[in-house]
Amino acid sequence: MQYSTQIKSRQPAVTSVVADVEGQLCASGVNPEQTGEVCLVLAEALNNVVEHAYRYSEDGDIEVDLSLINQNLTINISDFGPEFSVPEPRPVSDPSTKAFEDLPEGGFGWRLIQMLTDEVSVRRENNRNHLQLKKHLHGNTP
Amino acid sequence: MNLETQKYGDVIIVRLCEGRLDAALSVRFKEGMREIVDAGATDIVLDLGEVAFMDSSGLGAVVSVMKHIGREKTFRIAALTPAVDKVFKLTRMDSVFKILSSPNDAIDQALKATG
Repeated sequence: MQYSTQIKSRQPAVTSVVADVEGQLCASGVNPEQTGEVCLVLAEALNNVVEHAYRYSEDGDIEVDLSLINQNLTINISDFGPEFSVPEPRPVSDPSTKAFEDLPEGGFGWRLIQMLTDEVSVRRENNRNHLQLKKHLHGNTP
Repeated sequence: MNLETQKYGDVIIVRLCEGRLDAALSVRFKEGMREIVDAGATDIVLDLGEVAFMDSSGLGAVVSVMKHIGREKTFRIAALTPAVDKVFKLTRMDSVFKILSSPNDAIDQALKATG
């Protein structure tokens, strides 16, 4: 399975890419659980680009490329936003120790990506960020 | 944004009639829920049974709604689909919500209370 597209940095465009990928993974025989995980990872990574790389400006270009070969899924996402680095993986803190008013409403994106993928890397080239996410799928994929 | 409400005694069941609760929808979801809360609801059950996909923006919106409702009122979430349940568990936010397997649990309870 191979999927490539270019979108503008708009949240509805992210929704439709995730929906497209969901349909393709499903058609490729990936089970619902892993399809859901990949869609979540993709949505979090693209939301990061919309929110942080382009700071909600809606004319930023994003390229998305996804391939599934021998159960190895690779997602490549590139943008023209400022350089960034992937935060160090750290465990999710126990929210039940926090005061009600201080319960977190965000900041989960990278941790979800890191928990649900095997490899996360980013490189900077020609003023672009290239984020690569790898995940080995198991079970009944082709 | 499609939020359907049904009242049983003091309990209001709010059903989110959307397949996705993601970044594109989260602001409108928060606004829709705030209207319901500010109209005077004191015991709210959010039925997420139709939501097959939720990202962390969607989760953040549900947390924001809970904080807006406040601790003096009751807020429960119900009927989490597997993918939505996973986001709550991975972020450990399942520990701070009251989660029902079905909104019917709250309805039965409300109907019993009103006799």
